[in-house]
Amino acid sequence: MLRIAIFLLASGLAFADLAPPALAQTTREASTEIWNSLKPDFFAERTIRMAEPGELQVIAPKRAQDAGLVPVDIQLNPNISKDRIVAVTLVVDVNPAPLAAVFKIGKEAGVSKISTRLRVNDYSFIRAIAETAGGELLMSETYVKATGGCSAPAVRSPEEAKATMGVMKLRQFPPEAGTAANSRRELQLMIRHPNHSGFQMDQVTRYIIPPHFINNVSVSQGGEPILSMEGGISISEDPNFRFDYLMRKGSTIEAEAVDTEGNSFHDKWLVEATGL
Amino acid sequence: MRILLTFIVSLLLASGLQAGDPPVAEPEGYRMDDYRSPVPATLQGAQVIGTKAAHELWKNESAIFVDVMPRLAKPDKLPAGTVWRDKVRRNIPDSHWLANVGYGALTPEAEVYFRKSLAALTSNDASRKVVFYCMTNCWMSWNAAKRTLAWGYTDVVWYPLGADGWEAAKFPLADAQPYSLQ
Repeated sequence: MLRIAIFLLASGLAFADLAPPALAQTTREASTEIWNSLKPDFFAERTIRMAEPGELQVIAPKRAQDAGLVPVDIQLNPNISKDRIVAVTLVVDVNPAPLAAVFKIGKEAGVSKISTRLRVNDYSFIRAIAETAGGELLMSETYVKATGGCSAPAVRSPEEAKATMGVMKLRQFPPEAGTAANSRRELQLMIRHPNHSGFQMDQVTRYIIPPHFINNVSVSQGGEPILSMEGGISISEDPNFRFDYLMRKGSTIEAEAVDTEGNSFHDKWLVEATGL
Repeated sequence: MRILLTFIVSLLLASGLQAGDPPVAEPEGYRMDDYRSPVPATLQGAQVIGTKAAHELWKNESAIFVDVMPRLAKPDKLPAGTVWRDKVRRNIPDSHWLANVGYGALTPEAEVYFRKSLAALTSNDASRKVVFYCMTNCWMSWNAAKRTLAWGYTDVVWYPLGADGWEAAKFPLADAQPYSLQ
């Protein structure tokens, strides 16, 4: 009882004594203003309409626990009024290089969700802008409170990062209960790579580590593209992409990744036709 | 029980502490990481001021204001065509922005820049009053002020609330450019 009373009291005190909101953090309005100035760089004068939640939605935590690893989910309806989504652009307004990634979706792939992890440098909207085959642009946005993601130090030591750079792992998820007859499955491609943003400090020399990141990834099934990504410095260390697709029994999944130093990495896996 | 509670409340109130925020002790050396986190109330050898006192010094032009907010400079090796936006730093008008000198350890180049900038700004007078700031709960200004003391400057002032504390008091900010040595 006493403990509860103290707790209530203490939280009340803390609340009353809260510091004024950190005004210098980017507000929603400021983030939108930055976006308005960025938009012509990516989409010229084309019209972008706000998406209905059923069409396209970008989801991220309201407050990031780790600004260097902010989980972002993009959910999309692969067939909007029979007009297929061909590409999704992911933007973090306040990041110094705001274009996080451009995903291209294979024609027969049936991708309806894509998840990855981003660096977010300050309070910001994260935006997903989808383009349909007919050239329509639609956008979903979510505001995230995070600070310092672009300069967050690497998780792995430089030696370990070097030794395992380019190693890929593919997780093939079994179908959800009751959907086994369906051919929709989820894949998670994990690539070991430091993905240096160009803002991280070498903890020993104190010099800034030059940027070195995966800027191209493509995943295909039996030679048909499922998903490709062109990415920048906002993709977190050890790039990680989870997405669904329409599995074809007996086919092979191939993944290829290229980094900004021109290194290329590939691997392939047989489709595990669990459930069929 | 009620008496005990009252006692605890008065203790809490008297100490002015926020519940859950124990006071932060000054480290012996410099703060080396996690710069955006609660800071100590003191800096051994320096005067610590609030917004009102900072404004007085600023208005009377009786101190040199040094902003040590770090800056992410555009890396050289980005792919061609990368869209880039420098973050606009808004700080206390007429401050000098010495970016990236608030880290716990400095590269030789950063140290030379910091030393030479201080010498130039104070006209080689180590007794000039210099106010260091960045943002609320940022150790960079604490580190920079401490380093300046170590270099023999005698009138070092730390303004821990920084640009956002200044702005919260409705004082003006201005767009800043990093200080460059002539």
